[in-house]
Amino acid sequence: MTTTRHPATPTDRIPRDGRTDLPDAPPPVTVTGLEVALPDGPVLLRAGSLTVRAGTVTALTGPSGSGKTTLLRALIGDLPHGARVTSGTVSVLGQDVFALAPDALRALRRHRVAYVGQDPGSALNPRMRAGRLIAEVAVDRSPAAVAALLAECRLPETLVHHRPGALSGGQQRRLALARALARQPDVLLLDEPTAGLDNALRDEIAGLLRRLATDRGVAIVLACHDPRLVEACADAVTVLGAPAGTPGNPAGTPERTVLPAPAAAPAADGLRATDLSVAFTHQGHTHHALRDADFHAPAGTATGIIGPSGSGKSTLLRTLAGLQTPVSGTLTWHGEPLPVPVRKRSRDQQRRIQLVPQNPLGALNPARTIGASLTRPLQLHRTAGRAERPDRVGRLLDDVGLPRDFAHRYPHELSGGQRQRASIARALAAEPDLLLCDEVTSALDPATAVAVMELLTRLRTERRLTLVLVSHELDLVAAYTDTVHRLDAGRIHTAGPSGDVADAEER
Amino acid sequence: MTDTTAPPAEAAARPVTASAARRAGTLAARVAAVLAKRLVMLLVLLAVVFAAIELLPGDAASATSERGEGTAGLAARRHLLGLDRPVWERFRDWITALPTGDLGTSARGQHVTDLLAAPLPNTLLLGGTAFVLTVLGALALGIWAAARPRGAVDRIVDLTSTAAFALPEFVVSIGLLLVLSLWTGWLPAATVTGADGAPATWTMLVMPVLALAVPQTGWNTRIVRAALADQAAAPHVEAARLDGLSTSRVLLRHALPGAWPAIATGVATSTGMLLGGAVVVETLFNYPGIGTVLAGAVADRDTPVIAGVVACAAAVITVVLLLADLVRARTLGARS
Repeated sequence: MTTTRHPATPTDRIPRDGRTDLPDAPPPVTVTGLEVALPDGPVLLRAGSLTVRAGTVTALTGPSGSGKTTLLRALIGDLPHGARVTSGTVSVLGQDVFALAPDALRALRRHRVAYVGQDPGSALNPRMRAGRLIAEVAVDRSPAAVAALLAECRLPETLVHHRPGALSGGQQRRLALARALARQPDVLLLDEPTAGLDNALRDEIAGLLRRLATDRGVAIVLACHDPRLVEACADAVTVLGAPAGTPGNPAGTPERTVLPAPAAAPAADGLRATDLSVAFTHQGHTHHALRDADFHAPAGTATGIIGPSGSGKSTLLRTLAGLQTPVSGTLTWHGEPLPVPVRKRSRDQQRRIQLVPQNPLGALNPARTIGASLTRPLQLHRTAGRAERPDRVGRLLDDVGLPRDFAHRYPHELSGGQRQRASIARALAAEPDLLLCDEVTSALDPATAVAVMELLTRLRTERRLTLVLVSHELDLVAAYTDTVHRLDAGRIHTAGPSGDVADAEER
Repeated sequence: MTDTTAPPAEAAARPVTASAARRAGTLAARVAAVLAKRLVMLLVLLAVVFAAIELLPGDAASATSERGEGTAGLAARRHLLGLDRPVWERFRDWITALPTGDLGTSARGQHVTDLLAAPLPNTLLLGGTAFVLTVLGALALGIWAAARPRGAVDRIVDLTSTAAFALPEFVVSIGLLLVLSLWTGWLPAATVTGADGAPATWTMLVMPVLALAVPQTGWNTRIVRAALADQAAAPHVEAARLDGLSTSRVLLRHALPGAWPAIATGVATSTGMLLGGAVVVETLFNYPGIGTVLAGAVADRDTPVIAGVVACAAAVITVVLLLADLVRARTLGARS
């Protein structure tokens, strides 16, 4: 447990509107020695301490599973199902959140402390339009104020009429942020606020958070594994779990041990998509998510797909997986047509092509243990006999860097990063030839992200796995893929060697 | 997601109306397809009704004959009623006349349409009122119970709804008769039919409606409660709770919309049970409805009357099920 002052920013800023405090006013958030555990043993958070001053941004970092989310949620008096506080205290705005009466706690959450979870896509009511989602909690419910909030979070104004299902992952994340800001809270708690966003958006969100802290005196805590976001806006960094890393670069940059596999000899054709177009129609508004996209991923290669938030990356991947029926266009695998939708594919075709979705909760049945979720594909595709299944599950967990006893846990008992790794293991259980990955590293700390990419690269060499990777993390894309396709507004703009495209993007 | 390339206004307007028309067209086509399927089901159902009555001991001729009528007289009646012809032939005649609105002639020589003209609206009034009461009661109780899971209200509602659903209509009817009529004398025990064939006063409707609505409210309350419990576990409902929204807002705006499909299905199933229960309740309260006609017709082995009642009931149930499907399509479709 270490707390460091970020060297790049002054430590004693005084909020301009004086809403909260003098410099020596009590800090809005104080946590001392908080330990949270499940009744049957697993400790979710070990001796977490945190002090946040008004008008500052504090970053919570630490490896996946170190209790970042648990600590953030403890600040609004919410613990994972069945968990309890075994020691320590939490004080938010002068109140002990675990001793508050239900009404007082509700008022605190409603008006003063706003929390945005790690998975905003599922946290937004799928039946409400964006405008109403914001107005529902807003201090000022006028359309103008809602539009201003959307603009502040860099969302286009036309979005007010859309429901969350019509937004991209990055847009959903910003909508959830807008919903939190609408309350004009004193304390803002954000779990991975920029996961799945590209560099430009990440910098804009960082700027927004910086302004909120400086101009309005909001105390901001963000759980985050992205060192560049920490660098861009955090005043202080609190590291949970093992005290690793150096001040200012808390997570450290892990070593890359394996170089990208050389492109395989072009023996087989791999995946080919021609003239793919996808459109969504909702109440008379037609949105073209994909227009005449041509896509080719030769067998054994790794292909990256990049592009701004909302440009159709996930739609392209879902269409390749057969989950989205295109308006027009054809798909082939090794020259043979791939039926769409996925139901029409043979069991073997289904096994060969696996998707790791952006939201790992959607891929893991909440009522089944991780072990059961991993056994299911083994059983379904008969890739392992009954006797060897437990061992295969263990090895799959080893592969993605999870302890073997996680087979007995349920998805809600895992942290966001651990769930994502379980979701990757589930896809690998089917022994696919083609793996479609949607932002698989966005909820992972850099060390785990590199480990996962190393694993996928190893599988490419060993099993001639073909990899298609949607990501906004350009350095990973540049390091681990051969070609990159850049999407913009539903069109594939550039396709070229990874290094070149990623370089151009960075500039 | 948004369109980054904004088309000019006039160009945009045409495809929008076109697609709206196309959507309305596909909706109409889907509704027609569903109706066609249900119509085939109804045909099969009516054929089964004809066959089932054929299997019952006795026939309409013997059931409706005067006491002491000779064998020759019975044979003549059989010929008159067409009972000497094979059952499929009678079914074919009846079913081909159905589209013209002709439901055939009863064993006692009346037109079935005339026989049903007065009781059918009475039953629809009884069933409709009980249906509305059931929906309102179940929603109110289910939401009230869900407001505080495992609280006192939740436990009491859970217990009473189970008990209410377990009680058959006739037990409820007898209880209501005892309390509301015999002991307190507030309501008339039996229904008196007025000159127009409807119950003489609205007070005569109260007990039959309650007798029908109580068990069904129990059933639907459980469905509403369970659907809301399901939704309460959804991430967006939990997020709404963590946003500090009031319990009523979380329930009504975030949990309830997702629960509509389950509730609509449950309520639609109740229509059939309400119509079935009406037969018992109408007999008990001497209510001038279709149930009384049906009970008499079964005793008479009067196939055209029974088939006519079944056709009417099936039409009502089909319409309600279709409405439930539309509610489901609407709420599920509203997600993207």
